[in-house]
Amino acid sequence: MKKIYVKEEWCLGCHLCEFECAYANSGIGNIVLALKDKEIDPNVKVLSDGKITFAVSCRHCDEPLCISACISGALSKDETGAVMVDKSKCVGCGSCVMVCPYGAVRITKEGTANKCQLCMNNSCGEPLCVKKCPNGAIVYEEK
Amino acid sequence: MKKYVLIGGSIATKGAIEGILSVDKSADITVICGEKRPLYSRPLISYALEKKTTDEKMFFHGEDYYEKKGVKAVYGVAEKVDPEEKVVIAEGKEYPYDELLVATGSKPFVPPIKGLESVTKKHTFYTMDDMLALRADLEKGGKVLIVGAGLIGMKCAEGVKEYTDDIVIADMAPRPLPAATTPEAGAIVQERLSSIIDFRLNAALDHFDGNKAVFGSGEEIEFDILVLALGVRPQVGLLKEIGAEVNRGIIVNEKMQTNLPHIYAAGDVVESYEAVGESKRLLQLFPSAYLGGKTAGKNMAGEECVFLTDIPMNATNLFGVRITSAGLFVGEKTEVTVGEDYRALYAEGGVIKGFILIGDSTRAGILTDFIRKKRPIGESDTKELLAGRDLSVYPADERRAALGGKYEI
Repeated sequence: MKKIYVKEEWCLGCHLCEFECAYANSGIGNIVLALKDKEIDPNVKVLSDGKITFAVSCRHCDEPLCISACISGALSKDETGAVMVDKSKCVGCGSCVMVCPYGAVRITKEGTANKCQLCMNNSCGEPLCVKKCPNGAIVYEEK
Repeated sequence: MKKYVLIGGSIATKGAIEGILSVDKSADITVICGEKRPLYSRPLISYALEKKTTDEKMFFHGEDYYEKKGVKAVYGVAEKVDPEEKVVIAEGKEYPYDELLVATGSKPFVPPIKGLESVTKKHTFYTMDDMLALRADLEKGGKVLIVGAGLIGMKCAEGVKEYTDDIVIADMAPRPLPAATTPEAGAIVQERLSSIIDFRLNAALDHFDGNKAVFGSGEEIEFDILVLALGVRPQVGLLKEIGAEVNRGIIVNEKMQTNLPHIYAAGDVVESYEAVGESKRLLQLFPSAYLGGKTAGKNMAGEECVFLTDIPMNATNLFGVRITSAGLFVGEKTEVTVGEDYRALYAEGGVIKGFILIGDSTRAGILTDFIRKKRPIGESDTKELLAGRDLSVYPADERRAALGGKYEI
């Protein structure tokens, strides 16, 4: 399946992916209206080991521990292999957060799980973080 | 076509079905469900009682899960396994197998308490039927006594609270969640919940007299509805009577095989390898059941695989207090308090053995991964690990490979 991969040697640490992610998932058609004066809670996070920066989002694992631990069926794989979230089923127990070795699933302020769904659950149709990365540090491809 | 029979219709069976089908696409699978319901998620019963989810959504992968997977479901109780003839007898009919999974789970433990027979409305809280029966009584109103302040009792209380504020939880232990938390964490949970729940701790139940519980101290508590949440016991009978190695649970190896040929076991019924203590024990947890079942399924279908990374773990939210833990609480303890949050990490010999977090659990899975894989803590500061853990704590080449898609952590 097509997944998001990170070429950390190209990451500038600009955090633009975080803002584009928040915009993509806002449901609002204008980036200013979507983000101005708002605290963002994106599905991709730029982290650093002190020397180098890298963008972390869900890896859509072949055998995802988050799904193994999900008691509500809110997390499941779609037909392409992407790990998707059904918020209406989530009870917010946090089992997915307890097991994800990437720290890529979180419980939002709404009390339900959220994570990168490859922009398949919004109107972008392809990951906006990839499209807007100014240095090609995030790619979306088949491997 | 290979015939697979799976006894039990819960999470281990779900894992096994998915494990078998990942190897053997044409598998002939029969599930024998003693509970006489399609696959549902037992941990959701408290959420359904609480109205945080619906009865329909408890069938967490659809009421037609077995049909979707091409699995035959037999709703009935398995009475006997004949390992010579390789058949299971259920409701008088024979089901032949090439490979068998026993995932019979456990049953609530109800000790012989004097006078229990005189209690009119008494419940356990383990299955969907238990929840429906309790809900029917709660809807008529009344005061509730829950005996047992473990996870089942506490989650039950959260659901009961939806119907009445008149709840007492009693336990012999000095604090709630005695098994799932440490004394320090348990005390914090107790303190945070004491305005919501009327606890009777260090309270040994002596007997019942009608709808009155009498404790060793002489205290008497009257109630209308009783819930007994005193733990569960594995249902080992089917295999014990044919000579399987059984301790408290059915003993399985790292492939989830019992000592009997072509018979596997997984889920709440087994004692299986636990990676922190490096010994076999009852884990009785949702992820353990699923992954153990999946391991069994793959092996049953002919793909060799082992499950060596199972550890105790729990994530829950009780009345808004989030409690996340993994591993064993042994070794040297590091504690950090951040605002309302309490975090403790246990390490020994340069590896993390366990952790418990009350409050924010962001990226807790990274700590869990340290435990499961026995990653060396190395130069990481344990306090920093507790505070700001993220992917940068893994070795750089491993992180790079994982983000680059060459490897899954």
